[in-house]
This record gives sequence, structure tokens and C-alpha cells, in this order.
Amino acid sequence: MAIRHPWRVIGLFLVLSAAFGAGLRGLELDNSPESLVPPDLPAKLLLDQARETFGGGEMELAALEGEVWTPEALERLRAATDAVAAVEGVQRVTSLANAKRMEEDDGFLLVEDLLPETLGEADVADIRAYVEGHPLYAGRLVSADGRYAAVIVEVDPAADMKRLNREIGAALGATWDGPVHLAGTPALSGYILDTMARDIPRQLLLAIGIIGLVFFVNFRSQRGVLLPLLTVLVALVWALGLGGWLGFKLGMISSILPVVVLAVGSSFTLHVLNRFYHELAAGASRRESVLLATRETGLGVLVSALAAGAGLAALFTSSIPQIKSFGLLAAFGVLAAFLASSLLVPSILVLLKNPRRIMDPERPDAISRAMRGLGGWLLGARKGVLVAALLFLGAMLVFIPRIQAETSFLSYFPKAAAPRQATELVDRVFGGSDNVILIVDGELKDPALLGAIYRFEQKVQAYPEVGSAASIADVIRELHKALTGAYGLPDSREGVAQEILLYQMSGDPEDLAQFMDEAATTAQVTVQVRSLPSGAMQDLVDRIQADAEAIIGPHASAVNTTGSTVLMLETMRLILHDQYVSLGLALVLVAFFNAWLLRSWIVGLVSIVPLVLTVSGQFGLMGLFGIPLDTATALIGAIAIGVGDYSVHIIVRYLEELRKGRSSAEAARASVYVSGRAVFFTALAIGGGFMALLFSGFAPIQTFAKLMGFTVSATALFALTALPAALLVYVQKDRKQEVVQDA
Amino acid sequence: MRKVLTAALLFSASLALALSGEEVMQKVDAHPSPSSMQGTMVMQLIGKQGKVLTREIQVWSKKADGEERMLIKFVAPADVKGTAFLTIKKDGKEEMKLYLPALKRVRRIAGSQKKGSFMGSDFSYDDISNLSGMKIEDYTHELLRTENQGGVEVYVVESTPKPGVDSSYSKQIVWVPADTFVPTRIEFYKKGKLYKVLTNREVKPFADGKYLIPTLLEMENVQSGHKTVLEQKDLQLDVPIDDAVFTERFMKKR
Repeated sequence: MAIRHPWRVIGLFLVLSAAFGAGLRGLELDNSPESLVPPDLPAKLLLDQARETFGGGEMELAALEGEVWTPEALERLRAATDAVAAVEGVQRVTSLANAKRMEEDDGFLLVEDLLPETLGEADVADIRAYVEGHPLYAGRLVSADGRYAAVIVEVDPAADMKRLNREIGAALGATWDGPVHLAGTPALSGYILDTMARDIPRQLLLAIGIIGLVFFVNFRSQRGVLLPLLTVLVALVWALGLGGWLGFKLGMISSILPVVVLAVGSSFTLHVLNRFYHELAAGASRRESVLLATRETGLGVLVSALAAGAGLAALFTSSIPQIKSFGLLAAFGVLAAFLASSLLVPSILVLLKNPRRIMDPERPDAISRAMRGLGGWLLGARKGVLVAALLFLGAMLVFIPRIQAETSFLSYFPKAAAPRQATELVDRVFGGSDNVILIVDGELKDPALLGAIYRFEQKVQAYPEVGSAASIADVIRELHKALTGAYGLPDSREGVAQEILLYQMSGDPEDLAQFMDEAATTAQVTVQVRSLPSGAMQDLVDRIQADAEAIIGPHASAVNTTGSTVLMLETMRLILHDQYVSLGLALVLVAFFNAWLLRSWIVGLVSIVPLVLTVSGQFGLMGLFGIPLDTATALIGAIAIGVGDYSVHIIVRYLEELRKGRSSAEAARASVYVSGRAVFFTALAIGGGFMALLFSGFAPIQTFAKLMGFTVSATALFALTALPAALLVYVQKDRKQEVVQDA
Repeated sequence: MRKVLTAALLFSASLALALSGEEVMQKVDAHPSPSSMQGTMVMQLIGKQGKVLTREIQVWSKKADGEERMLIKFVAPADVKGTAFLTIKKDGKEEMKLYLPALKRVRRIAGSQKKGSFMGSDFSYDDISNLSGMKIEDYTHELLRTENQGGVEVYVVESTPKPGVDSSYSKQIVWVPADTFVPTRIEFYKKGKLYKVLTNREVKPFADGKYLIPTLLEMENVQSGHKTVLEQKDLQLDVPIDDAVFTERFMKKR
């Protein structure tokens, strides 16, 4: 097809690329927690329901730095609070400026705004004294030393976090005259999106540069650089365009998509071109060379494309929306790269004139000589190599169970990143930037239940990781003090009901809505916690849950835990579980494709030897060096399978040599010698491409890039050692005389 | 030709009849208000998800000697039954007292409640006291347009508080039918954004048509999705109410 009607093929690719490319406009960046959390996770459903009932959404915490206890500062805080409340998408703002004051004053029950309309020095001293005596405010809305004021902003989880973070920052900056520190989900998401917007083009250009350089060293020609790049460009446009059409959004994890498609896709053309130039140098005509390149080498390309596609598509089984869409698009991109390298590239090659200078990429050079040496050595050492591989596998398996999972959003950021520093500041001065939410169902007018909630709060507030806790029990205690002069709870159901009614009458009923529903049957207890690594957070959440069960449980009909932190922990558990499913599935698929296309189960099994060794190596190293499994590194296994199957070229060549009647020793030597060079350069191109991710602004992606460095080298190493050794031992002759030829 | 003439005549007639925003609101304000009222209010608090809570209160109010007094007592639900709330307004000063039967004590309450929620509903105290008409001199009124609703001409007036007036709202848009001059719908705006919408579903004549009183009202908080339906029942107007009603003793009486 490509040879007979090159123009038609080129035209078809142009039309398809234009069609997919039109979808690029629809492609958006999004790293909201929504994109990371499976929509049907029980804790997620509970959180959505809680947000529906109690209002509020994702929390942004602003720490305004400067002396708080002056009339001017409080006026500015008031202006800042109003300015933030006016930002589109902000659902609730809490600060000293809109706090209520309720106290016994000279025989009167005083219910009013904490800040009077005009503020004098005396008012400020009075407000300060009141705030410092009230646990709902002290250390929560103002730091103990009076140097920081908090503005707690709850925003619509579906809103554009980047815009919100920018507008909230601008509103605060315009009204407060000291430094403003923004922590919490919108701040982190805004930073993530900014970093992604900066990183994606940068990484892409860098990867193109590195891959181009590797291709130039290999082919020493413009064509050898431009054609592979054209292939991956087509693949990128198709994959990202499809993403746009399907309404997918790129998040932190999927931001590596372009580099993955680029690195994996470029290798296909490398093999096709290698063969083309090799045949051309050997004296074949242009048409013959194209034919051989697409037919003979095409089989290897097809097998490795299917394997790569299968490995990536296996990620589609993930329950994490972002990983799911990444898997689908990456697999599609790989397929597109395959189509481009086996249809578009040959069409162009047919049309182009022969280069003036033809350099055989399989020419004897230092690399080829090394490969020849390696091939010879392998023949004698095959058993030893296999034993060494087994020992390696065993050693790595020992370390795998040591892997720790990590989902803390904060771990994504370099230590110097503004939102990370702001989060640490908020943790320090306000006792926590994160929260764990307890949903208590029961008869909330029952003083016994309220008392239990209060005891629970006392218990958890004693933990060093917990800042404060707030619930309807605190509000009623506060009110009770104002009414009776002493902290406590009413002793009857009627007393509670009447005090709640008083509270509702004294202000905006919405104030109460964040703690309890109107019918007094569901309450929300918010436990403010510091940002912690996943392990420590899980431990804390477990303790909080156990305390809630033990203290509140007997008085309530149900107690459940949720909150964005809990969601991330549960998501992590899923990622770990998905990991095994997608890895297992990917290995089975690769073995199946290889066995099917190469017509032998033994060959299929042998073909995954380098993959099994590499994947266990990756996880073993993660366990050994304490590299956490997080949302990015969780992809590594499946991607390794996707990129690592270039070893199939060794097998294809080995079988091709056997078919020609060579002995297995000769076949092994030839396959390592001839394909080894291609494997070496493919590894260099793919590995080099992934190195572009080293410059990512996200720690997990940097770690991912380092691990990919290992992965690519390890796969190449195993493909050139353990694989031929296994072939020599298990595949003595080609079972079938005819290997499927059509790519 | 005749049609054109008729149209022209009708047009000039409507011009002659057209009132300014100020005039419309003056007509609204011209309704007499009773010197005393006594009755039951049933409030349905309806949550965003449609959950309904019902509260029933008894209300006594009286205007005399430049003094406005109001006593509210809860009848239902049972756990707040007997809770009483007394307001006495005189010379621009407000005195509030609260009785919670569970605490068996009357507390005086300080601080302005007028922007606060009326009995935990979507009505504020301000809204309730403005039911009989807002202080029209505090606002500038502009006629936005007239609408025809079922053959009745309805004036749509925008009322904006004058500078220096402390109002809960940045503006209100009032729908006033030309036949009764009792507003049927009021939109309340806060900081320029629509905040609440009041709909008078039913207006009843009392004392042989001397008074026109809204008896079924719905206030919806557009921002939170919460709404309150308020029904005034067993209304008695201009009946003598004993001054003893507005005392602590009566508050405590079950």
C-alpha cells in the first residue's frame, strides 16, 4: 500500500491528523483531587454528601503575616475577608472579621459581630481578650503570638483552582499590607497547574532534542532525525487530540504522556530506518529496501507496538480517573506511532530520492564490535547468565514488600516551593492545614451524644499531629457559657434544642449549617491536622477512627470518617492494588501477543524474561532505597512493559536466523550482533527522552525519570544477556517454518 | 385607522396613568397598618434537598404610644415549646428578652438582631418588620418597567437605600400590582448579587377590606437554596391586647 500509493497514504495521514488535531483545542489541564479519586469510592461519596449537607468544599488557608492586634490590621482583615468572599467560586470565608461574639455582659446576653463597625484601640484590646479566652478562635483564626491572622476559604471543588488561587491571592494582596501565605488544595493545585503548563512544553522540547541527537548519532543524516520525529509528532497530535475530543484533562500524572509517546513511538521508526539504510547500503533498490524494512523489521515493530500498547492499555483497568485516561491515550499514541512508522515513513521513503551518502547503521563500529564480543561470551556463559538472573530476581523479590506508599500532596513539591512553605507555616502557627472529617449520624439533641463528641475532641486534640477540633458541641458549650456563665452542655434534650434555636435566631442559620443539618440528625466534626507523609497520616486517621468508634460510637447510629486526606489514603490503597492487576495483565498480554505473533508459547514466555527481571528490579530498588510508591511511580511497572519490549527485535532476528538454517549458537550471535545495536540506540533514545522528565517541577516525576533510567538500561541489559541466554536454552529451533510476515 | 387611533388613545391613557417609582411606593406605604395583631405563624423550613422542618409560633404585636411591642412564643416542635421572645421598640431603642424554659430563666439580649434570622428562618427581623412596608423615605425608588400579569398592570420598582442608611440589602426590586398596591414579589440583592426572593402567594382582606395582609409568604435564599414558607393563620387585627402579654411573667407562663 505504502509503496504503491504513497501519496494516498500521506493524504490519509494529513486528513486524520487534521481531524485529531482539531481536538487539541479542547485539551485542558486539571489536577483537581477529582481527577485522582475514583468517583465511586465510598469515602468520596460520603464527602460529596457532607459537602452537600454542610456546605464548604476544598479548603484554602491563607496566613496573613503582620501584627494582628491593631485597629488598622483588623480593618484590613475585614476588607480582605470581604474581598475574598466576592471571588467567584468561593463558598465560605471564615476569619476574625466575620466571627460572632456571644457572651454574658452585665446581665445581658450579648450576641453580636466580633468586630464592631468602628474599631478603636480599646475595642481591639477587648476583642483580643475575648478571642484569647475562646478555643473556637484562639490559635485557629489568629496565631498565639498575634503575628498571623488566618483566612479560611472554602471553595467549590468543581471550580478552576488555578483561577481561584490567583484571584484569592490577588484579593488578599490588595487588602492586606504584609506577606500573604497560601496553603491548601487550591494553592497546591494552582501551583501544580502552573508547573505543568511550564514543564510540558519544556520537557517535550528537551526530549525531542535528546532523541534527535541520539538518532543523529545513529544515522548521521537529517532524514534519520526528521522522519522519527515526524512519526512521534503524528502520534502526539493523534493522542492528545483524541484526549481533547474525549474531554480528558491532563493532570500531574498524565503530563508525562507526551514524553512517553515520544520516547516509545520514536523507537519504531528507528528500527524501520535501520533496516532500510542497511539494505540500501547492501545494494538493494529503494523499493526493495522499503519492502524489507516494512516486512521483516515490521513484524518486530508490530509485536513491540502491540506489547507497548497492551502494557499501557492495561492501565485502563485502574480505578484512578487520571491514570485510566493516561493509559488509554498513551496506548493510542503508541498505536498511532506504529501506524505512522509502518505506513507514513515508508511512503515518504519511496518518494524521497536516495540520500547522496548512504551510511549503513549496522556498520561495524565500536558498538557492533562490543555486541559481537558479547554474543560470543554469551554462548559460553548462558547457564551462568540465567543463574545470575534468577539470583537477581530472588534478591529483588525480598525487597519488594518493603515498598512504602505515599500520596501526600505535599510530597510532590520541592522544599522551596511557595505552597509547601506556606503549608508548613500554617501547620506551625495554626496547628494544621489539612483536616479529617467525622460524620456523626444520631440524635444530636441528646446531651449524651454531644458530650461524647466533646470528649472525642478532647482526646484527639491531645495528639501532637492535631491542631484543633470543631463541632456543634463546641458551639453549644460556648452558648451555654454565655447563657449561664459556665462551660457545659444542657442536661436535657429540650435544653439543647432551645439553645440551638437561640443560636439560629441570633445570627445567620448558615453559621450552624457547617456543623449540623437543620433536623439535628447529622453532624460534621472537623479535626484539623498537620500535613503528614502517608504512613504517619494513615496511622493518625486509624487512631482518630478508633477513638470515634470507642467514644462517640455507643451514642450515635453511625460514625464515618472522610475528608480529602482520607480520600487520598484510600486512593493509595487502590493504586497499590491496581498496580498488581495492571502489571499482571500487562505481562500476560505481552506474552500472549509475542506467543501469538511468533507462533510459539515457549517464545512468548521467554520474551517476557527481560520484563519480569526489570519490573522486579524496579520494585526491588524502590524497596531497597525507600523510594515511595506514589501516583507517578505507580505507573512505572506498566510503562516499563510498554517501553521495554524492544527486546522482541532480538527474538525476531534470532528466529529469522534459525529459519535460514543457522544453528542456535550462530543465531544468538547474529541477533545480538545485528539487533543489539538497534536495541542499544533504542534504549538510548527512550532513556534519553525520559531524562527530560528529570527537569520536572514535581518530585515524584523526577523520581519516575530516574527509575525510567534504570528501567530502560535494565531492559536493554537483560534483552542482550538473559534473553539470548534463555533463547539458547529453551528455543533451539523455530517451530514453525513460516513466521507471520505481514506487519 | 381606527385601530391606530385606539392604540394611540390607549397609549396616551397609559401615559397619563403611569406613576413614578416614588409614587408607586407611596401608594404601597399608604395602606393602613393595624394597631395590633394576634395570630399563629406556621413556618416550613425547606432544605436544599427538600427536607422540611415545621415550626409553629404564636405572635402578639401592638403599636401604642410610640412603642412597638411584639411577643413570640413557640408552640411546636415539642422540644422548643414555650420558648419566648419579647421585643420592645421605643424611641429607636430596642429591648429584647428571651425565655428558654429548659433554663427557666429570662435573659435580656443585647446587640442588634435586625439583620439576624427571624426564628431561624430565611426571613430576617428586618424582612418581618418590613412586611407591612419598608421605610420608604430611606430609599430612592425608580420605576424600571411595567408588566402585564393576567390583565393586571404590575409596576416593577427598584429601591436603593439612600447614602448613610443602614440597610441589609444593596437594593430591592419590588413587583407592585396596580389593583392592590400590595407587593407580590421582592428580590433582595446583597453586594449587587441576588440574595433572596420573597413571594406573596396569598393576600387576604381583613376588617372589610380595610387591611390587605399577605398570609402565605415564601422566602427563598437563592444562594443557599434554602427556603421558608410562612403561613399566617387565625389573624385577628385591631383587637385589644392586654399589656400584661408583653411581660416576663407572661413569657414564663406555659
